[in-house]
Amino acid sequence: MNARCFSTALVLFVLSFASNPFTRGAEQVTVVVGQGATDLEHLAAQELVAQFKKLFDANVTLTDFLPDQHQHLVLVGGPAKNKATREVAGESWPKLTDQGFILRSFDAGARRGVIVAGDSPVATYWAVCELGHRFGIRYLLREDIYPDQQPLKLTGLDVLMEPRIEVRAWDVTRDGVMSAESWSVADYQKLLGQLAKMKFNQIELSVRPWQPVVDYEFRAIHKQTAVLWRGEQFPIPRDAPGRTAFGEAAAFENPDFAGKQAGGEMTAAGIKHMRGIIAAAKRLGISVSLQMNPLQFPPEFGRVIPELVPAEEAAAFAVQPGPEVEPDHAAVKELISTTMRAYAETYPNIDKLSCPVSRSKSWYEAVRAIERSLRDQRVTNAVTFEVRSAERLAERVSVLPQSKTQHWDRSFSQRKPMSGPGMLNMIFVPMSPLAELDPTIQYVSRTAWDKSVTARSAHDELFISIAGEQAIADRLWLAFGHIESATELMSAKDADFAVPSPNMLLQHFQGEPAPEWWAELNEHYTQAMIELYRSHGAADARARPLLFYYAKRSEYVLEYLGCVKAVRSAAIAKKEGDIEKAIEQLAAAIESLYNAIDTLGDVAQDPSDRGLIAALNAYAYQPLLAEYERLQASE
Amino acid sequence: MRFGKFFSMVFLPTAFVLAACVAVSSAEDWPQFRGPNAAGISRESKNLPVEFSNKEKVLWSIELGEGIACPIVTGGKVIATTMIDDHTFGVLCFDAATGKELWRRELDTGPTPAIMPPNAQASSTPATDGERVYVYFSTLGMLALDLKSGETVWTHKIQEPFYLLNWGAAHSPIVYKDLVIFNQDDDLAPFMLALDKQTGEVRWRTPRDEMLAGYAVPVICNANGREDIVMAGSGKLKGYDPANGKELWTCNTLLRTIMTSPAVVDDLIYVSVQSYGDTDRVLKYALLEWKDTNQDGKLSKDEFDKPFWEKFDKGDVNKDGFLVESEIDAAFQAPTNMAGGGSSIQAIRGGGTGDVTKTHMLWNIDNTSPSNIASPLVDDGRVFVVKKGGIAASFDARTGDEVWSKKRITNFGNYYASPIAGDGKVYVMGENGFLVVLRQGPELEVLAKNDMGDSCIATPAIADGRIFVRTLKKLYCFSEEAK
Repeated sequence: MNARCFSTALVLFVLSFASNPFTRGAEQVTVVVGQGATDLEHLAAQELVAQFKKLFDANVTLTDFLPDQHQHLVLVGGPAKNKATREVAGESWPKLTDQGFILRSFDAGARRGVIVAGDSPVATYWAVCELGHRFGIRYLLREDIYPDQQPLKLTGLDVLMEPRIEVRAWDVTRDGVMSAESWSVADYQKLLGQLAKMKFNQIELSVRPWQPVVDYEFRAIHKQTAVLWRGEQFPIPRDAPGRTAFGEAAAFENPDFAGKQAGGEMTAAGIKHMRGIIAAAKRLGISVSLQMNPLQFPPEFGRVIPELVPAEEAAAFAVQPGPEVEPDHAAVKELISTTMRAYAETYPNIDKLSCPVSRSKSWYEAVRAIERSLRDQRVTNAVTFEVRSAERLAERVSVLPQSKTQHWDRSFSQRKPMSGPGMLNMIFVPMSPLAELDPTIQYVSRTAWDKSVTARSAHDELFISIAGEQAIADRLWLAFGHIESATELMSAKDADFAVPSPNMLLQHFQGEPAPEWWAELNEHYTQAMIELYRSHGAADARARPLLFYYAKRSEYVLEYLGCVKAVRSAAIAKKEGDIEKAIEQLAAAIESLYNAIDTLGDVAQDPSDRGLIAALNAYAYQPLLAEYERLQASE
Repeated sequence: MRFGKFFSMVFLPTAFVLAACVAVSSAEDWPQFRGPNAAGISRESKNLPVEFSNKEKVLWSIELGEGIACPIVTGGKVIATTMIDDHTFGVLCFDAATGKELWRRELDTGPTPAIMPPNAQASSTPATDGERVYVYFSTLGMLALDLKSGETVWTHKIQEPFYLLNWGAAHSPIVYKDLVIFNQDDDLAPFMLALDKQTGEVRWRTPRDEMLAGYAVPVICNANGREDIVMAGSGKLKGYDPANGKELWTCNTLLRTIMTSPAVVDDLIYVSVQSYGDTDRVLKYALLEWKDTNQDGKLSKDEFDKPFWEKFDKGDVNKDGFLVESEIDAAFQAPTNMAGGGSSIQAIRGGGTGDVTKTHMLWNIDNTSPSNIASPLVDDGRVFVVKKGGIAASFDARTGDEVWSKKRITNFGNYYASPIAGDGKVYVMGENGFLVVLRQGPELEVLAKNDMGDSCIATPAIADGRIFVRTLKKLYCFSEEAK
């Protein structure tokens, strides 16, 4: 934004926030941002103005010069970018890293207020958000929840924050209808806005060879495979349970790709989509790592390299070097180089192209050599290549609510302290559906800056603030504890129990007694639901929609588990030759599943929630109906 | 499944329960919740459509915004309500033939109370006498609006209801002769009220201290040479004298939580009810489960909203600041009416005096068919009920014997709307937005399953050969007249 544009915008912005001059009692606040401030620092100032308006009903003026006298000044930005901060802070400005920031009250006679600033634009943005947090705003994944309006008080602040975990990354899995593959740029923008307020500073966007996000040729073969969701479609029949979450739409779609034809149109839309996400992240000071598997390729390239074989986890959509192929295979190396180059050139604004190699060390070395070659060729000036072994395992995303907050807490508490400056210290939060992640994210975002923060203390800070009292936080702690116990139980007993796949439900249609742990699982989710509804009933109005969302989702689980149990009973009856009972049990399963999915439809909020409904319809409801009809026909 | 039952108990849709009385209006009016006397029956409409949808046989449709109250029809006008924004309640009047908006009122509600979905703020179904529209909103009270212009004729402030479990208001008025009758069974101070329909002045006000929160609407029963107001509530079905509001009789056979409305045929009153838990499940257990936030086995004052503190103090006999066991009963559930849960269908003869429990009960069956929300449809000698899962049943109105039991009407999901009938057909609106049409008769025969395109909580209306469906966001008029 150039200076003239900014001045105009500033005036308009001030006008838009100016309170009625005849309003009695509204506090007058002046926010000072530096004349040389960056866009992100202006964004920080605008966020602060909006927050003060809601927190204090204040009459807020945004300006770029320091008034001679004022009782409620907020100086946004460090001394390098804000002359006012320089003048007020003087020699007392502390030494900060590029992530560190301060919130410091000052009293200089005629001028009083608070400095909200870091030494970098993004640190200043975080400073503003931290100030909001300390005034009681709670940033969640989908919204901000504000406290009741309160008297304006800018005194007594003397906070310096430096992160103890330097990289706070959001691992955006983009593979599957419930994943971020279903999110539009607009959806990402909203989420990234919330993540930035919680001081996340990196996203990792994983892409797959079949996805329509890159366009290149190799030995005269053009990349043709360009599909979402591994080519699956998710129609929403008019009588599908949960269909009201989709409005009039006949199918679940990522709106950024709606109506696009396969191939070129899809790819063009995909590149625009990815660039939109990257731009949205960069605007908020969030760095972007693009993760691609350098050893997997679209299947069409198998035509020029016969040694490429279908990839195990996506046989129809990806090929990879067969077991006999050596890392010095010239054509394969050339294809790896071409692919990495294509991503780097398509997305020159990313910060890093991350290439995890999951095969032998010799393959790792081969990819490293290609990466060095690309770097030497100056393929891009800005992109850093990162070749690493793929030790991080993909999360098993279940259709059932999951929580791992206490697991993370244990993991962090056992982590060795940082050994010296510059040591890379990272935390990756896998983006399963946002669903129940709010308490987890709250914990991660707070403990990354303060090692005294535990899962429990972060939980209490969140829920006492928004729900109103310790007793409710206690109930919710129990609720999420049960969800976490259920998560661990499924992981230990059957990791595939409810992982979305075409056989996810009918895998349980087998004539063996139900495992005993199913009852335990059911009990955990039952207790979670009771605690969630109990909390919902007692909570302040501001927390109720969120708690209702959690409660309805736990209600969904119990219906789903009821369905699974009925499916198992039907299979046992069928095995025993009691077809009538089997049909009756399948009918009960259909009803339970209908209720389960319909319950989700009542509270679906984001594309992953709708993707879950679509997945349950495609992978569970339709196969169950088909099985029911088969059984009826056999009677 | 226990949680399912609990939650259907908790969700109270509002509009499902409204009965009308004998309002003086044209033959094919549908002047209140569920039409004349809340029976859900159109006697005049012919050629009602069977197969239709949000895209077929739509005579007109209007985007209303979210709401769950039923539309009403009088003199060729349709009235519907909506929340225009968080603090603006809208009452809208349309031409029934064209959908043309004739007037609208936008009323500032101020801050609205907590409410448990799917109940919503704009939940009360208005009533009309063909001259005025009587509409209730929790923070505004009762308003009489001129039917021609929408102008306010009078306003009567009514004590806001309070619910131990935050269910929220959902009571609807009826018009009887020169009275607007409004029953408000809440957990704080339940009462029935009669207002002069011309002026809004109180004619009488009858406390119903024995009652817990419930959502039945009053119905009129002509029996034994007199017309009684009949009101279903916790544990008891009661008859009142419309002239003065005095209680005439009581039948002590109902359950704890009553959300369905009775249906009256001749001098018989039919009730189908379901209330969570067994007969021993009195209110105390629900409170210990859901209000005892810290789960210490006793209820403290801060676990209740302030309006309930007086009741709390009354129950706290030993003044230790906690309610336990019998103290909970004493505070919130009348000792003379310790009704529990269960499920039953009953027929009671009207026109009695005093305790008619043993004298006027025609039949009372313990049967799991009834919904806790959807009221029974009684017509053609049969009692029809439908509940969650699209499970329906039919009973002989004379004997209570099953005509057919627990059959599916081919549409799953919840049923908050009550079934209605006309032109030999029964219309059953599912929450999932499908309106199932059945042939009225001794057998279950599904004629059509019609897609309304959106969730639907409100009971539809029938008038002049048209069906009016209020989905969550839109109002539709379906008719064979549609091109």
